[in-house]
Amino acid sequence: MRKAVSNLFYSNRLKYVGIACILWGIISFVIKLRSVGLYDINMLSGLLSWGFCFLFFSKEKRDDERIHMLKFHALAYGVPMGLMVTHLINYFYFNRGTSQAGITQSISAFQSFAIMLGFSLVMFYVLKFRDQRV
Amino acid sequence: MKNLIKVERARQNMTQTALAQATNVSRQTITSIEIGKYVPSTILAFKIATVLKISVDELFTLEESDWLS
Repeated sequence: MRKAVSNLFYSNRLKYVGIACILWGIISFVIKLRSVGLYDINMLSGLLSWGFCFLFFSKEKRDDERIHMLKFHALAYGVPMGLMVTHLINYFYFNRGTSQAGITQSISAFQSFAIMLGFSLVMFYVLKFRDQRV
Repeated sequence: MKNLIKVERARQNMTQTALAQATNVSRQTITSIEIGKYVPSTILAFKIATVLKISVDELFTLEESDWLS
């Protein structure tokens, strides 16, 4: 039973769930923007976070130790890069020119997480593609 | 780390795909190990050595640069 649950959460099929989450986020964003003109980035970033999470942390078709190493390298690039982009957005978009001490605005955790995992995911496929060319 | 996987594989007339299947990794992983781009774990090193019927220390040898990193 325990193995069945762990197999379910670490299987290749979760990639389809991830893709469905991303599509759901994008489609609902477009529908809201077109129908009521609402620029709802919160739902989009939440679903993108889930989607990227399922895509990144699910099993690859051939899941061996080299793939695990590539995923670690991708995270090592993606997380600091995403944090840096989060800080840049916060600085240039939310807090530039504000002089109120102690009050800082920030993008949401979902948005930051989506940026970090997005970078990691792109980096993983870049590293994988680069390895395949050898 | 230097390795003799390619030589031993050729001696046994074994393809990368066959070695990959026998050790339960991808062919790309075997390629990366052969060209020295990826250093395998101890378990994988032993698996490869067992399949190629050679000892691990004969198959893998340390280089000077390995002591620096």
